[in-house]
Amino acid sequence: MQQRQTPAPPPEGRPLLEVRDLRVSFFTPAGEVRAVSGISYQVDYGEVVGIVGESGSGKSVEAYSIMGLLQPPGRVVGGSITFEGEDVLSFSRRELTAFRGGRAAMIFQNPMTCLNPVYTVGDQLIEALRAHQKTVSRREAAQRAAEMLERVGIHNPERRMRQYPHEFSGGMRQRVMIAMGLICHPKLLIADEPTTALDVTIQAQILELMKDLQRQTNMGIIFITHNLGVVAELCHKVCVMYAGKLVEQGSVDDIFYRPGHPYTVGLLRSMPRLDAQEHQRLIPIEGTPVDMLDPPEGCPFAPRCPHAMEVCLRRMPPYVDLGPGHRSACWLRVQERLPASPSGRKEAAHG
Amino acid sequence: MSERKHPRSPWGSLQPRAEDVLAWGDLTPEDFRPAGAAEKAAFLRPEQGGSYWRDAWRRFRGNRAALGALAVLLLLVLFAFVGPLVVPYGYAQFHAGAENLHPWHYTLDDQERLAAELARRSAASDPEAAVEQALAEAEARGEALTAVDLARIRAQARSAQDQGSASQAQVRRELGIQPRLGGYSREELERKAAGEAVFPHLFGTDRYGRDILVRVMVGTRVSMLVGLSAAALVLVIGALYGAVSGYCGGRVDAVMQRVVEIIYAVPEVLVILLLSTVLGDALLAYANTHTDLLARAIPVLGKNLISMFLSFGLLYWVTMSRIIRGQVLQLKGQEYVTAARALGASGARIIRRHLLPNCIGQIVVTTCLQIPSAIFLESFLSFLGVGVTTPMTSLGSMASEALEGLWSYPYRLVFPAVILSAMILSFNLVGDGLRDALDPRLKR
Amino acid sequence: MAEHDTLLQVEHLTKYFPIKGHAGPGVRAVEDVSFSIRRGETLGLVGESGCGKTTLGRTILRLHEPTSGAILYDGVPLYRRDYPFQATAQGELVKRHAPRAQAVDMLPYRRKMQIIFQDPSASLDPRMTVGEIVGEALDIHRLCDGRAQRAARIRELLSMVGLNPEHADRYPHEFSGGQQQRVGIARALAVEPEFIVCDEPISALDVSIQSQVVNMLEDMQAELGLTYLFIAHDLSVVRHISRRIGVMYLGSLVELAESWELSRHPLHPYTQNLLSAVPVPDPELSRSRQRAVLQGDIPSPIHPPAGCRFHTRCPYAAGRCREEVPLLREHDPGHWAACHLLGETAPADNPPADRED
Repeated sequence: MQQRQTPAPPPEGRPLLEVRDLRVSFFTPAGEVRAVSGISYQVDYGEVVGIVGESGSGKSVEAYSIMGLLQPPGRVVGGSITFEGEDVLSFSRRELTAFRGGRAAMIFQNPMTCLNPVYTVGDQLIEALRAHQKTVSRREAAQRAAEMLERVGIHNPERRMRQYPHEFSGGMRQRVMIAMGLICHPKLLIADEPTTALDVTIQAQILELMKDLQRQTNMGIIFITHNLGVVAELCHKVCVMYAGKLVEQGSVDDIFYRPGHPYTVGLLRSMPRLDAQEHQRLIPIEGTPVDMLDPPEGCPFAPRCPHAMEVCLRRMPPYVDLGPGHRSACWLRVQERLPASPSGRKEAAHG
Repeated sequence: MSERKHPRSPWGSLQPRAEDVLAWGDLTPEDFRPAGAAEKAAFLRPEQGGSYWRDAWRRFRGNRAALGALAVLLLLVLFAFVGPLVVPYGYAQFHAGAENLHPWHYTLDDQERLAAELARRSAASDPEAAVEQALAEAEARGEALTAVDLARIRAQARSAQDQGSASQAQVRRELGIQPRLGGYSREELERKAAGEAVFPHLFGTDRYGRDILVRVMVGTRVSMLVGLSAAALVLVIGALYGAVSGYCGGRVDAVMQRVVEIIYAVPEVLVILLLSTVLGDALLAYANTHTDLLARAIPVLGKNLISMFLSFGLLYWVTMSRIIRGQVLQLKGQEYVTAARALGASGARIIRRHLLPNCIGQIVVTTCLQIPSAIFLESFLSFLGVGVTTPMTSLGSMASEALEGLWSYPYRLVFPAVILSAMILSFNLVGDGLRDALDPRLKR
Repeated sequence: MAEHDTLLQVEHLTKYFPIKGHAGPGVRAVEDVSFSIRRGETLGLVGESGCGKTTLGRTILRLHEPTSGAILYDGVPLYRRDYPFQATAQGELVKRHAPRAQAVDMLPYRRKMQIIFQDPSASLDPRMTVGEIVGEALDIHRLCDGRAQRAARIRELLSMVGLNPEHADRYPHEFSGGQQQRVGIARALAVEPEFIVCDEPISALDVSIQSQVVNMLEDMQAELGLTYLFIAHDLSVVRHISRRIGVMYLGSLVELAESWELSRHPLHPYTQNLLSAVPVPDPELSRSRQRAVLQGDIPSPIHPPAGCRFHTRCPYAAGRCREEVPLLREHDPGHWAACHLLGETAPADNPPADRED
């Protein structure tokens, strides 16, 4: 049995990245869209944190704001992002450029649009390195680029470096993107749905690669995805986002075996599973996500929640600790802790 | 309940903890009753639907530039179509005695004061008077003046007189005479003084005494109508040709595109000139022998304009057809077209119901760009003297006429040119605005 | 017409997309695929992008003109043509004469065979209201007399797929992805079809919406007795909804079996790898499981490898695999696979499935 490597303790007793109460809004002509409203989590060295959510849940926006890549009309309106004790949000333009690609790197869903079609892959890798380490000679940079390509599983790197992006297949391009992200040895890697556009067998290759790299480098990884299967394979911790809010976070085992939020429960139950023993009817989450423009008070999941209570419609629930590092924002969990609460509600949520 | 060792949550939460919530005290057991379906439904904001055109108008309104341009266009339409009804002059009406009027006038009193002053000054510098004076002075000194001396004195006096008349403006300034708005001839001023209501020539008159304002109005109308109808012609032919060529593809497309390439190679202006030469007599003969709509239109439009329309119909649609073909090639791979084919829709139906409506943005913009180019062409031809035929006028022919007296009467060029530019700019801006507004995917 | 148990039969269906200015077959998207679908069943079709599954679905509906082979619907041939190529000694395909297929009027069959698309926003005309989209099928086949009946039928169809019939005059962009997909399904159902090709109908939807659509498709099948060809790349969804599954690789069908049989005892090495590559939403299981990761990429369908198409990535490839194209053979009752390694004899002798442990 293969054990997932447990994260090493932080060298200076502080987390690699700490996000506190981050709020991001898009100011559209129609009004303010609260894409991310008050999420907090932290990433330690060598830890893989999965951020799970549907399209429009704010998971990508949140990652973009860590990298300072938010485009207007998007703006961080509150909270803090601390990277190794430094406040990322207060970085100047120059500091931000050094931070991006230097200490933190990001890989994207569509590798084709992120590679410049008119430069060779080698040139782009060398540029990426020399942009941050200006003392490195071109020859040395080329050597390191070749090593990096070899490391992400591209054979014959000297020849491949002279090729253009269109000569690479989708999976190979994503490997190039990973190599480009890792070439400056970042401490944090943000992967925004890196396998969504890939085929299953290619996805498996990339996932194995990311596991290997994570084991070797002790870097922190934020892995954004909507695929719970991928999360189960790769992540140590999971944050579940819904409509810009963090509805549950915890270790991967907490989320899969002891889910504390009806949305998490619904997600797990609605997926057809390859290891199911017989045909079972799927249990979907009814309804559709809320409009992010002018969202109601209260819990955004309430209209789709089978256990919605009156309080859910009026007030956003507080976080309730369900165990070490495991917490969930749901009034059901609050109710269980009320002195007068009728017992037995727990089963309803766990199904 | 788990025992919590950390004073604060390891997540660094800023949200209240459950324990704190319990202390809020404002939560009652009723709050934890299951919510009904109606309550859940009410929780969601009611979805707003809107009709397509209302939405499009709402988006268009949000575009200031386009809205302003639309207002300008509406003003121009009023100017061109209602204006001639207000102004009591005909565009081809000559006003004897009112030739070359400026768009301003001086009152009769001022004119008389000016004339008197000028007369006084010119008397002072009359050459014969100067000669007499010089002779008298010479006699007094007992000298005699030669013919050469006399000629010199006369020349000096004459040049002084010329300077005096050239500085009319200076005299006016000295007398404090201000120009008044609107051009009137002397005769008209007298009629006005007699208590008659006389409409001013706001833009002045040309060298035949025709009112420039009304001519600009009519010229704008001609340019607008030519632009719109030429664009409509181009739209129909180009869109259909392009859509068929793009949808059919293969060999049909190849043949149709070769035709387009041949047409591209034809010099349009030459074709127009050729057509107007060849068609001139035939059209006249037709107009004389028939009484239908076309026969009645021929004398109004003139052979040049008719051959221009013909060449638009024959040649100018190629750009539109290329654009529509490109768009259709892109659209026909769309899944909704495949879906329509799977439902058994015919090619004509797919073009009519799916492809052309989805090209509407491109069609509108191209048409809106086609209008100015048609206006330009008409003006250009009229400028060269092969456009609209007199007495009909257009902005181009007015600009052409203005060239003669450009230094004395620059506004004769400025008025039609400004209106032409405003019209073309507005059509372009409105076209852009329409394209954005007509795309239902750009909802907000 | 007699009711056949087999609703759709596909024989040696081939679809090549010629490349402009290029002799030879061009892109060999689908090659020599044969299968049949029984009335009322769901046949799943899985494979990775570029394996030809979508092309196959559309070729069956004659949305692409096939290159050769035969399509029989309810026993009636919709298409039949001989293979118009022959292989040279060097293994290249050159054209040879094959008479064109006889023209069949497809319009009556457009009522019987329908399709649901992957991208719900792309498959709905953005300029038409939902009512017009659903009503278009009614107009084409003249299924309604009068406006009132047409409007009533549109409302009925919309409520059938769980949409508010009051929203018939809204435009597709006013709906969420899941609702748009419901509109697409209502459009397909408008002509009361017997057979529907579901071309990745849930891949573009959010996870929480996918199961809604899967359940609805199952309900519709039970209610209306529909037959599905369900195309997807997600093996777990296909296995959930299908009775039988065909696995495609680079234009060919490599394995065909009952869905539970296929997931428990995959015979073809590609199927085994595909199953192993699917991430399982179970941390415990994914930690304990050793998975076989396929090396390399899918080769280009313009120049597919000779012999078994899979031999370039197959961990067990032998000499014969590089030369000879394996045929789809029945190894267990109802379990077909195209692999030389399975041998001519009973597959239990040395199935590659055992080698994994």
